Amino acid sequence: MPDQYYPPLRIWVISGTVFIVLFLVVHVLALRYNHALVQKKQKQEATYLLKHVVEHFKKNESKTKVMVLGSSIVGQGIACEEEFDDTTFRNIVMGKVYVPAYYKIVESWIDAKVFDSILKYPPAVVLIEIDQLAYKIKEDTSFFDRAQESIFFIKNLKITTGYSWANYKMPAYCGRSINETIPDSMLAPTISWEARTFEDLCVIHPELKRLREAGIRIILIQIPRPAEIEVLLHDEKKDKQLQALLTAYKLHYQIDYWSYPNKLPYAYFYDQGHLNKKGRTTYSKWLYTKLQKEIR
Amino acid sequence: MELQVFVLLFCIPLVALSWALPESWQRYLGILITTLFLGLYAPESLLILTLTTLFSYYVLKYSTHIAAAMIVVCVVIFSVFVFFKLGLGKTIWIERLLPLGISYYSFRQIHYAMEAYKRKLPAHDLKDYFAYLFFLPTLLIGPIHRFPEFMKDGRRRRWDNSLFSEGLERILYGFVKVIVLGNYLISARGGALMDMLEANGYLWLSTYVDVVRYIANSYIQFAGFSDIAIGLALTMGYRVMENFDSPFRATDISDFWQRWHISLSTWCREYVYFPFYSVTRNYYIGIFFSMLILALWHDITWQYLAWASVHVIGINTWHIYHRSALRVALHRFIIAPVFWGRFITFHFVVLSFVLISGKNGEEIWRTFKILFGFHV
Repeated sequence: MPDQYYPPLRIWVISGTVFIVLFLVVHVLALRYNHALVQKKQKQEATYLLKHVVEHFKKNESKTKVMVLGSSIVGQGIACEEEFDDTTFRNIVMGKVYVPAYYKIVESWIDAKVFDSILKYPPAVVLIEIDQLAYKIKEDTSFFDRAQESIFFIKNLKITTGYSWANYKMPAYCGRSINETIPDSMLAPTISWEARTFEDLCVIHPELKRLREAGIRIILIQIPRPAEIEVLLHDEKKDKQLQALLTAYKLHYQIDYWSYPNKLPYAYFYDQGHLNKKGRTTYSKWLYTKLQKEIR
Repeated sequence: MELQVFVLLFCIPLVALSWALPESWQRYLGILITTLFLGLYAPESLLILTLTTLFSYYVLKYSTHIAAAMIVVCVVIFSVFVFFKLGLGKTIWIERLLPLGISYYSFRQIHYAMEAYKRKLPAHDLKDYFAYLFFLPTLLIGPIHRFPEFMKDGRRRRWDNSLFSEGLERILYGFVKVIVLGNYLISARGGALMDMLEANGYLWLSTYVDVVRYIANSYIQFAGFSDIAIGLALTMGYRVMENFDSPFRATDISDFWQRWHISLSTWCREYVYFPFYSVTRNYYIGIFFSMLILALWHDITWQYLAWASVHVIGINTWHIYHRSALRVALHRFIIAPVFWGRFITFHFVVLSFVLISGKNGEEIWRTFKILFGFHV
């Protein structure tokens, strides 16, 4: 008599087959519905932040209101006015609507009716992260990225259906200010970017037109990345395409472009894209100073 | 995780073909698949493994003086191992600091040399030795299985439904340990619990949870990967030695080392403790050198040396206590001595692991201060 019995092999074959079938079904569903789910989640996040921005603007009616639209890079890179110890920048009130993702962020702003809110509670200036208008990310088709899609799908499904809503944290109003730099050995491979043309992102054009007609100043801002990463992301061709895009935006909607003038080393960043506390303070001081000059 | 998944992907054809191909091809198949795997993911390791395998085999086979041959092989293998452990490998290969699996195959080669010296090796040829060292399931994360058992299993292996099913069960348990218990429960959820406790001002509790989490995660991850390796070997008809035996149920520190990383601790006992003990007749010295090698196997840093010293003190203190009249006297009064034995052993081990979990001396000191209530 054996000491212990193990399942007959047919049980393993049946369970293995069921597992593979389930995995494939989830994978197919993920490929079909993941983008819709992600957008739904992003819309919820944008709506949540927008609500806070409006409340914040209402509380500070007398101050000059500035709204920033962007991704997590904005969340982590631009400080709120309360973060400055001195009162130099207290005449500005900053509202940030950022989507901590990299997929169809502009569409999420539109879905969350961010532009309607801007028109209802008009700020003096709207800053838009240039990366969202100028670039799109090439989709990765490696096996592991595909497999991860299934995991994201289940995660997003749980969040959007309310199953794990209690555990889900909405993005912080002021974004994250992280006081460290992750080791460069942990750097993820750099995402590959494709330049966009002026016509590519047609969904935003009516919105920009509405803002312009309402007399709201729009400025595209470039938030710095580590100098060594900037070199990898930009080349002569992309820079020319960017220049053409900026000229088109200027021509159609009188939109200016503010680029951070200095190159920042890796010590100013949390990772390859997001500023850390040191970088956030440095960049925000420059941005607020420039805004103050603009407002005058 | 990715590398382990790749190992698994390479093991699937290995397992299937090990049953489908004729007996005479088996050894070559194992060597070929491992060579492909290492060639793709760690060519430097393939080169070192091949060269050291050829060197140790031919030196031991053709030497007229087996003791001298054994010493030469051990010194060379150990020097290569230390060279890479000291990080000097970076001067040759920029990409990987430590060649994949070197800690395991170096100790297997030393075991082979020692057994050759004792004349306890079964009859074999070069391909058997290669097959043993190129055994993919245990190549990356152990256990440090033994050559005679490997040869015996290789000769006796026959298809057995029950053994194959046991292997699959072990692989499943291994993945559950690594992914569900280790990555999700202990790392992610345990980390969240720790953050929550710290944010609410429970600094002592959060530090305690953190140190327990470190050792629990180390155990679960390592035991999980060992389960996967043992399971894969079982599906090929090889029963590889166990690496863990409920270490947190150990009632004393000596018992702990018979349950934790068994393949390494028994290796140290056989090839370090016994030789030193037989020469000096002093088991304290034997324990000291065993723990020293055990620590250096992990990493050559002052932290591991401190960790080893604490365990040497712990084991020797326990041995003195175990033989003393104090133990007999205390056992008359203590209620539930097994529980207290486990409690003390567990906390001794947890506290000793603080020495290797901290990033630097300052952090280690801070952790101890918090745990012992001296932190202001």
